[in-house]
Amino acid sequence: MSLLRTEGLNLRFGGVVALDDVAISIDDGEIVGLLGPNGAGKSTLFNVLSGLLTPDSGRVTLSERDISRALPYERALAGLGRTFQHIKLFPGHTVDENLRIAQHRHLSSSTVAAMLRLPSWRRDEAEVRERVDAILELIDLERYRHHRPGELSYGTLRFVELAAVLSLRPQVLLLDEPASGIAQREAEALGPLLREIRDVLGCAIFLIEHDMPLLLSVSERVYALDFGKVIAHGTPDEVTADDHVLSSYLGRTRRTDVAAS
Amino acid sequence: MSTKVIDTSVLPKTERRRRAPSGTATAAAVALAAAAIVPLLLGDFASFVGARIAVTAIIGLSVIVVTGYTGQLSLMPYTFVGIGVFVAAHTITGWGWPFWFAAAFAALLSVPLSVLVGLVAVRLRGFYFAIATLTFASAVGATLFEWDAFTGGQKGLSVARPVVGPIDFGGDKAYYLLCLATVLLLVWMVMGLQDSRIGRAMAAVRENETAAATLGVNVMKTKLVAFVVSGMVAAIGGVYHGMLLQSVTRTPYQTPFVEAVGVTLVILVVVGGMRSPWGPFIGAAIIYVQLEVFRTALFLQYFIAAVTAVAFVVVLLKLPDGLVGLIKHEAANVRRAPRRGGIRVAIIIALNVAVFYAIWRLSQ
Ligand SMILES: Nc1ncnc2c1ncn2[C@@H]1O[C@H](COP(=O)(O)OP(=O)(O)OP(=O)(O)O)[C@@H](O)[C@H]1O
Ligand SMILES: [Mg+2]
Repeated sequence: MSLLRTEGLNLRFGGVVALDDVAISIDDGEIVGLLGPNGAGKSTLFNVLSGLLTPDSGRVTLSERDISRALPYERALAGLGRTFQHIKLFPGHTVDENLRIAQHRHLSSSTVAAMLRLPSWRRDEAEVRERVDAILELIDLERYRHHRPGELSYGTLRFVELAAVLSLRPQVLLLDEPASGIAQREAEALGPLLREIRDVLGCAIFLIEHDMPLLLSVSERVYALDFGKVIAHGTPDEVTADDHVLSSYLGRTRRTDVAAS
Repeated sequence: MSTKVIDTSVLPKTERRRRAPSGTATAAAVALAAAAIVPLLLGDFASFVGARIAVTAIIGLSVIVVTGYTGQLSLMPYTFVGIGVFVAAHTITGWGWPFWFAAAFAALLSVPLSVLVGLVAVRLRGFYFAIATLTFASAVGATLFEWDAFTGGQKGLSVARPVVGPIDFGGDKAYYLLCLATVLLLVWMVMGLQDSRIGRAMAAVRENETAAATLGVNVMKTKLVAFVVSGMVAAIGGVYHGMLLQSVTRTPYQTPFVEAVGVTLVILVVVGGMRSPWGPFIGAAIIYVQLEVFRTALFLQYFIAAVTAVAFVVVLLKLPDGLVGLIKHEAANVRRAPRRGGIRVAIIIALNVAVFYAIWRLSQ
């Protein structure tokens, strides 16, 4: 039974076909890679999955529930977490505060309870502290707790964003190029970390990545996208051996992904 | 011994940070005592000014919630104030309700209007949100406040100050203390909001709506809650405003005044500090006290706009957290190096007074 599935997703931007009849399916606890050249439609697919873009046609289901019409926050609450190719954090807040914001889903105290500091608010605040401590430990970010995003390296920010989305306790985690712009050493740590996250939190991971060694080593299955179309799908070995993929992607030498939008 | 060391290192750092640095509590207590006593010593007029500052601070808290916390510029605070003012006139003077009951009722009555406006405005962002609130301010002024039975027509209505048991709040001194107590209570409540699920959602919406939604925050609902809370606070402020003036007419709550005072209030809050519930209080205190001190300056009314404009620009460029930010910053300096910090503070105060004095001399 698939956890996250799309059927016949189509999306055009003017003359550009960004998604062309895309059907993918991700199972519980799986790590699935998504590869494709710049402009293939990978981020667009993530935006459609998370509800930031509405497709021209097609369906998205999460645990057999049709979420095609759900708003982004409803999908987040339903268990769909994502990061962005261009990091989105709250720049005016410290890492600690960013991660507190990210605990929203697990808290319930009302406006009135907060204004009168009722017991339900007290419980919430105690819980938020515990949860933030736990996630800082899992991602090993304790020493950056009181820093603001502007004071941290790009690589560290990637991990902070990861910690924020993990705070949702998602069932499916969509990661858009988590290794882009980060140091080699950090990129190497990412593979084991993603597996640990999957094992500890039991979530499925759908991963866009131009770092091929990382993508191929961590993924159990891979989809290849080109011009918005799924051109290959299978185990990493099968996909890297595919003629279409070789000619469209792996054959070309391009490391322009850092500069690309 | 060694276990003790480990214990402290295990404590969450935020806790240690949150605890006020030594001296701050004392300074706050002294400031509070001064705020409570000085106007009383200076007499009735100073107490009236103090009450005006406190009432402005209450109304300013409504700006903190919707604009400071949530980042949506509402320019209709005085529409909700108007509701509070006329509710006070009817319920306190007309029907003999206790003032606190009138305040709660005004807060409740503001909700249908804020929900109506909110449902339209929360779909909009930034500039469009602000314009929507202006339009509604104008519309309410031309309808609800034109209703003579509600506002008392041209003559207006009178509002009695309360008598609670043996305490008569009719005099300016007693009324000032009541306003001060109320503003402290509301500051405390709005502070609680800031450190809560909803308050953090508001901050997230202010900084990045997409990121907030991705983390499960219902952006529209959060804006709506902020707008409704803001309307309730402003309506409560209106009840106190009515009791302050004791005689009220509809004109200030209609075009063009309602928009103008709304903008002026936002400027005052920005100068005081948008991110802190103390901002409106400090902004109102510093502006109103100096206005009164130099009120014999004939043309001060003209110059005050220029001074406020300069202060506003300086704050926007140099002090993102307004005077509250400046005070925190200077207090930290004083703690680190008492002498140099003290001199800095003295220079800042002297400069501020010098500006007002210069304007005063110029206008003699
Ligand atoms: N909001 C938009 N409006 C118009 N065109 C868009 C928009 N978003 C994406 N596109 C176009 O859709 C195509 C797919 O873009 P997308 O960002 O999904 O590519 P990608 O596979 O993520 O590429 P990269 O590896 O560079 O991140 C591109 O041609 C892009 O220019
Ligand atoms: Mg992309």
